[in-house]
Amino acid sequence: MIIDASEIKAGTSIPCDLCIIGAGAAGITIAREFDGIGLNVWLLESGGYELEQPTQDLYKGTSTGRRYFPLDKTRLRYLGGTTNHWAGLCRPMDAIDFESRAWIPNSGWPFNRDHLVPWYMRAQPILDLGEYIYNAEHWIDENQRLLPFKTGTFRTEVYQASTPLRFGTAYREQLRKSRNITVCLHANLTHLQVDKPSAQLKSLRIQTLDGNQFSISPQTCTLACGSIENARLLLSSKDIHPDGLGNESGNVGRYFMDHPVLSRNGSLMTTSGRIPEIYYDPYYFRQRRPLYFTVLLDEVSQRQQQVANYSALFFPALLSKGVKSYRRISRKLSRDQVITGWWQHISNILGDLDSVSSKFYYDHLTNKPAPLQLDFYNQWEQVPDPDNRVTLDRARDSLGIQRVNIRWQLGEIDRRTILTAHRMMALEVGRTDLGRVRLGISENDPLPDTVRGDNHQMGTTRMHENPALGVVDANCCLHTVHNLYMAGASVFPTGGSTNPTLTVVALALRLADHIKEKLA
Amino acid sequence: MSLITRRTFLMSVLAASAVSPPVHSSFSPVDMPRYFPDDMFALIKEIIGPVESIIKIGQTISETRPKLAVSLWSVEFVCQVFDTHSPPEPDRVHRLKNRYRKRITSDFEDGRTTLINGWMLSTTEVELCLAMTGKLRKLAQIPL
Ligand SMILES: Cc1cc2nc3c(=O)[nH]c(=O)nc-3n(C[C@H](O)[C@H](O)[C@H](O)COP(=O)(O)OP(=O)(O)OC[C@H]3O[C@@H](n4cnc5c(N)ncnc54)[C@H](O)[C@@H]3O)c2cc1C
Repeated sequence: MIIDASEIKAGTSIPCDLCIIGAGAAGITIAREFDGIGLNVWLLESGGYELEQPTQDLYKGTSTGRRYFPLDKTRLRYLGGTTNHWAGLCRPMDAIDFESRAWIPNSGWPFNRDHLVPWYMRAQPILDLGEYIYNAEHWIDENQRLLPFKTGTFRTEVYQASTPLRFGTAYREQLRKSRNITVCLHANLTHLQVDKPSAQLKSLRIQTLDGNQFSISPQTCTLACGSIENARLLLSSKDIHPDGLGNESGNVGRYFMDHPVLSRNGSLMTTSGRIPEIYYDPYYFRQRRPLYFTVLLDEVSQRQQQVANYSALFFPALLSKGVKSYRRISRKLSRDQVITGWWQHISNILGDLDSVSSKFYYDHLTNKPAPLQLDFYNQWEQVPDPDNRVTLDRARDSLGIQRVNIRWQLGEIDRRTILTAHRMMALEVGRTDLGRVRLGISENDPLPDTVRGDNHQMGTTRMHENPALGVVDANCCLHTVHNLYMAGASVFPTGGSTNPTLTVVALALRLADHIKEKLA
Repeated sequence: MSLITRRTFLMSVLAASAVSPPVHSSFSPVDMPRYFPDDMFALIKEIIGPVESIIKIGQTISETRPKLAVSLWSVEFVCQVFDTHSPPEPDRVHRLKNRYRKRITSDFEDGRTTLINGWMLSTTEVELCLAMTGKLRKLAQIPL
C-alpha cells in the first residue's frame, strides 16, 4: 500500500514490526524482502513520486576542503532516491578491499568478500544485471583479446550496466500491491528517541513539510537515507548523548569517503588495432547488456607498492574542432545531404590544418593504422580519514533540522595511488609495445584541483567489531542501540575503487535476512 | 652521395655533444634528404619510426631536458645503421630492429625510462631520438 503522510492524523503513534526510513536502493531492497511475510512493515520516504523542490532543498548543505558536489544535486530526495539519476554501472568490490591492509590506515571489514558473494548473486537481478560474472574473459568471444598485462600488474574486469534501473519506478507497483508493507510518502524522519536503560529505539518523530507530525514506534528500525543523511539524523538526535545518537566513540559522521575521479587525465598513444576495441567501445553488448571493460591495479601491485585500489576506463581523445567539422562535411557529402554552417566548418578546418590533414592522410592516402589517443578515466579508492566528516551546521532546514557541512580532503596515499598506477601502466604499455603513456600527474606535484568525487558518498557510520572504532557492528546494528540498523554505503569501512550500489544492495539483502531471523 | 663511416660518425657525435648545441627550433624534416642516402630513410623508418617524429621528439627532449646525455650504446647503434661502408647484409635491418626492440622492452622491464613532457619513454628511445636529431644533423654537415 502507498499512502501520503498528510493522510495520517496529527499526533498519532503508529506501532510496527519494522520501519525502514528512506526509499532508495537500500530501503526498497529491504522492504521487498519482507513483502508477503506476516510482519507489519513501514517504509517512510521524504519525497513523493517526483522531484519537488521544497523537499529537495532539505538536502542543501555546505562543504569544505576539496571542491565537492552541491549536496542537493548529488542526491535525490524522492521515491527511488538517488537511483533516479544514477548511471547504473555495477561491479562487486575486490577481495583485497575487505582486508585490513597495514599500509591503508583504518582499513578492514569484519568479513571477507567470499562471505558477501551469496548476497551479491541475489543482488544481480534486483539491479537488472546478468550473471554474477565480472571476469572479462567470460564476456569476450574467441576473436577478441584482452590486454596482455604481466600477471600481478593490471587485470581487466567488466562493469555490467544496469538499465539504469530506477528503483522507485521499477518496484512501485509491487510496493503498492503489498498487503503488509505501507509506503508512506512525504514523511520525514526528524528525530530518533531512544530509551537509555534498555538501549532500545522507542519512537521516530515524523514531520511533513506542511506541518503534520506523528510518530512511529517500531520494534526494529533501519535508516537507509544515504551516507550523509544517515549521519545527520544520528548527529541530530541528542537526547542520550550530546554529540548524537550512537556517537559515544565520536565516530558518527567521520571517515566520509567518495571515489576520487580524474577524468581524461593521463593518456595512451597507440595506433588503431593495437588496443582491442572492447576497451573503448561504449556500445559493447553481450546478452543484450552494455559492458564496460575496466583496467584494475592488481592486488599484488597494491601490496608491493603500498597503494590503494585503482581502476581506469579508456575514452578516445576528444576530436579537435577541425576534425569534427571535416568528419561532418565528409559524412554529409557521402550521403548527399545538405551541409549547414559551411563557413563555420571551413574556418574550423583552416584553423586546424595539421590535425585535419593527418586525419585525411590516414583515411584516404595510406593503409597504415591511424594514431589513436585514449584518455584515462581514473577512479580510485580513498583512504578512510577520520578528519573527512559530516558535521552539523548552524543553519537549519525548513523542518528545523540542522543542515550539514562536509569536509572532503585527499591525502598522500590518495595521491600516490594514481601516480603509481599511471607509472605502472606506462611501464606495462611500453613493455608490451602497445604504445606509450603520458602520466597525468607528476612526481612532486599535488593532486590537481580537477580531482572530483564520483557521487558515491560512503563511510560516516562505519562498520567495526570494536565499538571504539566503528558505529555499527558486523550486522550493521548500532553498537549502542540494539534495534537500530544502518543500510547503505554509510557502513562501508573502505570503498574500493568500484561503484558502490551493487554492494549497497547486497548488504541490504544481508541485513534483511538478519532482521528476519531476529524478528522471527 | 655522402658516405658516413662509423668512425667519423662516432667522432663527430662526441664532438657535437661536447659543444652541446641547442637543437634548431625551426628544424624541418624537409632539410633531411640533402644529407642522407635515399635508403637511409627507409632504414630509420623501419627500425625506429618516421624520421619527422623522431626529430620532433628529439627536439622536445633537448629543449625540456637539456642535460640528458647520449650513451655510447645509442651512438654505436646509430653508427651501425649508418655504416654504409659495410657490405649490405640482407638481414641487417631486421637484426637491428630486433636488437632495438629487445633493448626497449628490457628498459621498460627494468624501469630505465625517462619522462618527457609527461610521456614515459625508454631511455634507449630517448637517446636515439637525441642522437638522431641535433647530433646527426651536425654530422651530416661535416664534409667527409
Ligand atoms: C549522478 C550519479 C551517478 C551515479 N552512478 C552510479 C553508478 O553508475 N553505479 C553505482 O553503483 N552508483 C552510482 N551512483 C550512486 C548511487 O546512486 C547510490 O549508491 C545509491 O543510490 C545509494 O542508494 P541508497 O538507498 O543508499 O541512497 P539513496 O538512493 O540516496 O536513497 C535515500 C532515500 O532516503 C530518503 N530520505 C533521506 N532523508 C530522509 C528522511 N529524513 N526521512 C525520510 N526519507 C529520507 C531520500 O528521499 C531517498 O529516497 C550514482 C550517483 C549519482 C548522483
